[in-house]
Formats: sequence, C-alpha cells, structure tokens
Amino acid sequence: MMNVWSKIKKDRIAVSCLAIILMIIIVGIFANFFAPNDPLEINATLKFDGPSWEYPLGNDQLGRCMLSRLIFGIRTSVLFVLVAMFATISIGTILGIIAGYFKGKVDEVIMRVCDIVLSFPSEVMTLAIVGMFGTGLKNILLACILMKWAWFARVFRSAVMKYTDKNYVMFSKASGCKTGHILRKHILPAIFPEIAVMASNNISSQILMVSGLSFLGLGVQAPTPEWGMMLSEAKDAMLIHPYQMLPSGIAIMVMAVSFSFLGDSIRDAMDVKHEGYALKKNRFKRKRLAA
Amino acid sequence: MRNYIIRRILTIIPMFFIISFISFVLINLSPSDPVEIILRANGVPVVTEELIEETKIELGLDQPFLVRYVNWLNDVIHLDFGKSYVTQQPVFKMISPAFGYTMQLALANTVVTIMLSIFLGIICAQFEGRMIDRGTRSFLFIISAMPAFWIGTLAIWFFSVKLNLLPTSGVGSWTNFVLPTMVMSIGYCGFYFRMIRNSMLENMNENYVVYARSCGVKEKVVVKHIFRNSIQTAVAAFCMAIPGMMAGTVVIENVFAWPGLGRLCVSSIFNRDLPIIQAYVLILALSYCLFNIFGDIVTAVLNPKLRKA
Repeated sequence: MMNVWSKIKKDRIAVSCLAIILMIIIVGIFANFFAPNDPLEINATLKFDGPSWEYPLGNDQLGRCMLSRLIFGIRTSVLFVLVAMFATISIGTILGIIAGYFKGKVDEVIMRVCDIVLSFPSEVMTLAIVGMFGTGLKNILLACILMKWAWFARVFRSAVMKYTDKNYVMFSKASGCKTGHILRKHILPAIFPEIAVMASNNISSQILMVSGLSFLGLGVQAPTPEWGMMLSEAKDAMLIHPYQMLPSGIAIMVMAVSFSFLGDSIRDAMDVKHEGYALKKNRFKRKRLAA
Repeated sequence: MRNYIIRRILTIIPMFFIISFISFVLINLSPSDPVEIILRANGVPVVTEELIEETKIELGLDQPFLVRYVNWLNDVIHLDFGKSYVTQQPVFKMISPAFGYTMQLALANTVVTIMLSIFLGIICAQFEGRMIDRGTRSFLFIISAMPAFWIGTLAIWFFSVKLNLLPTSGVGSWTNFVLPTMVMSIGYCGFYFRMIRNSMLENMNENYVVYARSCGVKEKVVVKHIFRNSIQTAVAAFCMAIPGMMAGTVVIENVFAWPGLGRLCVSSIFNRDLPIIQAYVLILALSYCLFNIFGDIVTAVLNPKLRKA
C-alpha cells in the first residue's frame, strides 16, 4: 500500500487530479459556506445576466446565481454518485468474496444471477427501472447499484480465487483462524488494489451517466440544482445566450477527466494486470529454459 | 465449428425466456396502476372503483400472474406488444419506425467508429511515443470524459447556429447524420482505438514480426500482418458495439431530436406508457444478446484456438 501511495505521489497529474477532486468534494460538503448566494432564489430582473461581483458566473433563465447552483450541484452530481458507488462496491465485494472463497453451490448461484444481470445492457435497464418506478435521483442511483454490482462481484470473485490457495491463507486456516478473520486480514487487503482500480475507473462513467439522465429530465427534479439539468436548461436558451452552457459542462468535464486520470494513475501504480501477466510469462520462460 | 455455432445459437432460447420474464416482472412491479393510467390518459373524468374493476377484466388483469405472462409471451412471439396506454395505437406500429431510425444511427456510428479507430490505432502504434501518438491519445481521453450531450449541444451551436452549415435536428437527408454520428463516434473511438493500438504494440514484438523484418519484408506488408493479428480482439468488441450504441443513442437522440427508440422510450417514461417501455427493454435486451452471440461466432471463426472452449 505504501509503495503505491509513494508512486502516486510522484505522479504530478495524479496528485493534481486528487487535489481537484478533494477540493470539489469539500466545497460540495460545505456548500452553504462557500456559495455566495441562495441557489434557489429567483430574481426576475437579473435574467441571463453576465458575470458581476455579486454573481461571479452570471445568472440563469430565472435569474438564479449560477455559481451557487454549481456549488450546490456538487452534492447531487458528485457526492450522491460517490455514495451509490460505495454501495455498489460493498455489495460487489461481499458477494465476490463469498462466491470466490466458499465456492461450491453458493458460488454457482451468485454467478448465475450475475450472468443474468450482465446479459442486460445497463443503459437499457436503467431506463427500464426509471420507467417503472418513476423519475428521480433515488431511482437512478438504485438502478446504477442494481446494474453494476454484478460486474464488480465477478471481477472480485476471480481476484479472491487467486488468493484462496496461497500458502499464508492455508496456514491461517490450518492454525485455526476464524473464517471472518481470514477474510478481513488476508483476502480483503489482497484484493484491495483491484477494488481501487475498478472503483476509480467506474466513477467517471457513472457521473456522466447520472448527469446524462438528469439532462433528459429523468433524474433530479427542478428546482434542485444539478449539473446535467442546468445544462439542459441552458440548452433551451442556446440561440441567444450560448455562454450559459459553459459552467455546468466544464464542471462535469473537470470531474470526469480528474477521475479518469486518477484511475489510470492508480492502475499504473498498482500495475494489477501487467504484473500478473509479466510473472506468468517469466515463469513460462524459466520452465522452457529448464527443459 | 458447426457444433460450437449451434450450441451458441441454442443459448438464445433460455436467454429469451429470462429476458422476457424480467421485462414482464418489471412492469408488474411498477407502483402505478396501469388501469388508472389508461383511464386518465383517455380523459375519463371520474375514475370509480367499478370502472377500474371493469377495465381490469377487459384487459385481463384479473388473471393470475403466470397466466398473464404466458398470454403476453404468446402475443409477443406474434409481434403483438399490446396497445399504447396513451395513443391507443399498437405498440409494434409505434416502435418499428423508431427501431429503423435507431438502427440507421447505430450502424452509421459503428461504421465511422470502426474506420476512425482502426485508422488512429494504426497511426498511433506506428508512431508510438511521438507527438502524434501522445496528442491523439490525450485528445481522445479528454473527449471521452466529456458528456456527449454537452459536446452535442456545443456542436449544434457551432456548426448549425454559428456557421449555419448543418441542420440542428431531425431526420431527412445525409446531412442530418453528420452531427450525431460525429459526436457519438468520437466518444466511442477513445475506447476502441486504444484497444487496437495496444494489441498492435503487443504484436509488434512477436517473433513472426522480427522474422519478417529480418527477411527484408517491406514495412507495409509487416504492418498488414500485425494488423491482421491484432484486429481479433477488436472484432468481438466491435460486434458488441452495435447493441451498445443502440442503447447508448438515448441521450444523442434527445439532443438531436432523432425520432428513434431512445426518444420514444424517454417520452413514454414521462407519460408512464408502460407497454412501450416494456417492448423497448425486450427488443434491446434481445438484440444485445443476438449481437453478443454473433460476436462470439465471429471471434471463433477468426481464432481457431477458442473454438474448443
């Protein structure tokens, strides 16, 4: 773990991405403190006003402060997605560990359910769930969790399988350690790199998806500020005030780009896939040499 | 080989039952009462308990769950998806033109994406680590992190409003394809082009390439060999791209007012028109499955090693 952290610390892009993400999250949590105005306050006289001292990013079609809406939008656009992601990963990890560690019938059942869930395209199922249960952020996040856990469970299962037959796991089993202890102390830390890589690679696509659905009007309902919905409102005024499209679009982009870059850096630092591949290749070579 | 293909095709049957069952269950899980939606949509002023009961019997909703499922499945096999709650037209009649439009857009996207990513993949693998490679990679990386609806609206503003070159929305001529295809394929390209580039780079150090080079084979021919070997991983991914794009067009269709499935589905969600949503889920999940199998077969044909598995 320390090794990975020191590698990431040297990567300038990764550090700046991490800084941006942390900054945005902090601003989002303390939105009341950072926002200059009330995001819901309507001001008919300031419709589509340009930037000013009081309203640094100008005003939207109802004269609401753009910057405040952007800052409060962090909660819906980023923080809730992170919470949903955390739930997805938890479900995926628990089921993946159960399937990978205990094997047998439990494994069979979990994997068949995963197969069924994965055979549906996730975009379609998200629409279906929103269609059935009605629009709203809650249903979108629920759909994300329902559609994504199977993917995680499957990856983590195969990761766990790599470690269940390792000597140190066998040793703790033989020396009478409790199953819970083995899972917590030996299996979970071992698959942690894979969890981190999967999570950081998925967050940006999740943010894009949630804001896309809100853009369509299926997610967050007005007047709650959300980046995708702000963009859809700005789109209606595209002909006269094209500037309105910039703040929310740039915000989404910065967030998604930061998470993608960070994900790539973490993957490089942990080198999950490549290391396994290289090791196998070397082993093969050694065998060939010996023969 | 034939056995493999037959086995793979036969898996459609259980898949069809699972998919149809799930899309049927989803409708029945919906908290809103279909009878009430129908009566409201038809402008019935006072919805009484008796009226609800009557309509329920008329629609066969009083029967047990499994009976309804079998009846519905029987209708679906005969391409009868029921009637829209709102327009009272057969769902099939509404879905089929939309399906055609979505298919057109998805195919155009797939063709452009494949050509663009093969072209960029080869170029970047050839000039690995140079300016052109790094530039293309970072450009596409950032583009793929941008929301498609934002690029779409910016493109409409720039190309249609500012320059007045292309139509803003709708269908009709080939010019209508330009903007949606451009916006969508550039997003997908970032993924596929990296895949082609990486497998080309992996292949470049293989023995057969070194051998061909040392024999003095022309560079053009060597690249051709490398390309043939590296395209295999991409082919399966491309087959999966078509259904993925059919599902992924939802946002783009709404931005460009494209009268396809996605737009129909989103408007049905707002109207709570459950039969259309159900048909949408069924059709897309089924085509997802079919293309998945098609992709597996193509990969097996290209790579004999996989056939035994």
